[in-house]
Amino acid sequence: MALDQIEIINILRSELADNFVSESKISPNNPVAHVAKSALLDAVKLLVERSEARFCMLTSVDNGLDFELIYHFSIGGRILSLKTTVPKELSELPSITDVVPGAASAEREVCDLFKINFQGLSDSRPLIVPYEWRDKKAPLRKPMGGIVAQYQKPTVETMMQHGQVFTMPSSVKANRENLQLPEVKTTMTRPEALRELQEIAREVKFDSLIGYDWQKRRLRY
Amino acid sequence: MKSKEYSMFWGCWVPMRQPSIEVACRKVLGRFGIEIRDAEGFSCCPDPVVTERLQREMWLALAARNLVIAEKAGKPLATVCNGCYETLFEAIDALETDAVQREKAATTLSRIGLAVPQRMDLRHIVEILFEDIGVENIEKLSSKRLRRLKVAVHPGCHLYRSHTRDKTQEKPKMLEQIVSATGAKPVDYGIMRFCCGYPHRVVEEEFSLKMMLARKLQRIWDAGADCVVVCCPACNIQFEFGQLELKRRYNIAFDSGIPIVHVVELVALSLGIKPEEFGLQTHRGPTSSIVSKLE
Repeated sequence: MALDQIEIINILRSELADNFVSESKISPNNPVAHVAKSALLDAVKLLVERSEARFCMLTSVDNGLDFELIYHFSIGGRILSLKTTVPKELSELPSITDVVPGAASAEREVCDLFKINFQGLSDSRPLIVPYEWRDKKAPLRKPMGGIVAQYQKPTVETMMQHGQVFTMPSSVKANRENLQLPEVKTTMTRPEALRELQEIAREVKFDSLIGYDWQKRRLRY
Repeated sequence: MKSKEYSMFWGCWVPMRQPSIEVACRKVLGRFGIEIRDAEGFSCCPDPVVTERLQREMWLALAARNLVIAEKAGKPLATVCNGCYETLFEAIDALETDAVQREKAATTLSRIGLAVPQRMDLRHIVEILFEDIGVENIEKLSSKRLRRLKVAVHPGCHLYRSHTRDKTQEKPKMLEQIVSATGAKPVDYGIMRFCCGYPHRVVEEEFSLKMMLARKLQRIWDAGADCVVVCCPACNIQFEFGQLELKRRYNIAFDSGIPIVHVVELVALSLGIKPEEFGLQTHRGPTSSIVSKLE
C-alpha cells in the first residue's frame, strides 16, 4: 500500500536530518519538502524506491539570487514536490537521471532556458533552443540581483559590516581628536555589540533576504 | 530649570561626519547642567528609509536592542537627529501598541539574551532645549551676538512626528521659538514644511537636488536668509553636499553657498561659545559668513 503524503514527508525529515530544510505547500493537497542540494539525490531515491513515486515535471524559478528547482512527483495519484535551492553563482546541481532516466528531457529544457548545469546528465544537447544559443542565451535567466537597490548597497553593506551606515573618514577622526571628543562607543568599536546585531540579522533571516555573503562581507550582487 | 541626565543616541551622521554638532550639544547642555551619558554598544537606529523598507522585523529588533541599552543605562534616551527620532519613536510605539510585533521582537532579542524594554523614554534635542532648558533661559543667557543674523528655519519632516494630529506642529513651533530666543532673526520663506529632498536622493538624485533642494534654497535665498537652521544632521548633509552637487552638476549656485547650522550650534553661538571651540569650521559648507555676522 502506498504511503500517504504526510508519512512520506516524515520519512524525508527523519532520513535527511539537517538536510531537510523545511516543509510548505503549493496547494492544500500538494506538500513541498525543501531539501539541501547535497541531499537531492537521496531524497529522490527515497521517494522512488520506498514510495513508488513517479516523476512528473521539473519547475525552475529564477528569484534573482538563487534558482529554485521544484521536482513534482505523483504518488498514488497525489502530488508531492521536492524543492532545492541553487545559488546563481554556481548554477549547478546533480542530475537525477541516474535514479529517474526519464528526467533527462526536463533537465535539458531547464538547462536551455536557465543555463543551469546538471552534473551527470549524459545527453546535454540543446532540446528546445537553437544550437547556436548554447552558452550564449538563456531566455528565462534573469540578471543576478536581490532586493537591495544599487544606490542602497553601501548603506546596507556598511550596516552589516559595522552596525552603522557610515565609517569614519580620517579627516573626521582628526577633527574629533582636535575637538577632544570622547571615543565613539558604538558597534563600530565594540565587537561584542556588533556580534549581537549580526546574530539578530541571522535570526530574522535578514542576511538571506538581502543576499549577504558573510565570508566576503558584502552583498552577492 | 530641571536638572537632567540623558543617554545620548548620537546616531551615525553626527559622530562619523559632523562632530561639531556633538561638541556644541555637549557644551550647550553642560552649560545648563544637563549631563550626557554615552552608553556603550548602540548600533545604527536603524535608518527609517532603507532598513525599515527592506525588513521591518530586522528594523524593529535593532531599534529594540538600542532601547534595551538605553534602559540599562537608566537614563531617558535623547537624540539630535530627526531620522533616529523617527525610528526610535515608531519602534517604541510598535512595541507598546502592537502585541504581534512586540512578541516577534521579544523572541528575536531573547536569542541574544535580552528582553523587550519596559521603560522607553525618548526626547528630541529640540524638546530638551525647549522644555528642560527653556527659551527664557536661552534668551537670558544669550549674548545678543546673533542680532544681525537672518535665518531660515528648516524643521525637517520627522520633527512633525507626534502621537496625535493636534501635536504635529508642537516641536517645529518649539524650534522656531528656540531660534528666536538666540537673538537670530527668522525669515519667512513660505515653504518651511517642504522636505529638503534627502530621502529622495537615494532614489533619484536629480529629482532630489533640482526639484526639492534647489527650490527650497531659492526661496530661502530670495527671503534674504544668511543661513539655514536645521535640527537633523541628514538635512544638514543634504543642504551642504547638495549645494556642492547642484553647482558641480547643474551649475546652480547661491553666491558662495548658503551656510547651514544645527540648532545646538546656533544656541552655542548665542551663548558666546566661540565657533572654533565647537568646530564650526569643520562643516563641509561655508560658515565664514555666519562668523562675520557675529557681534
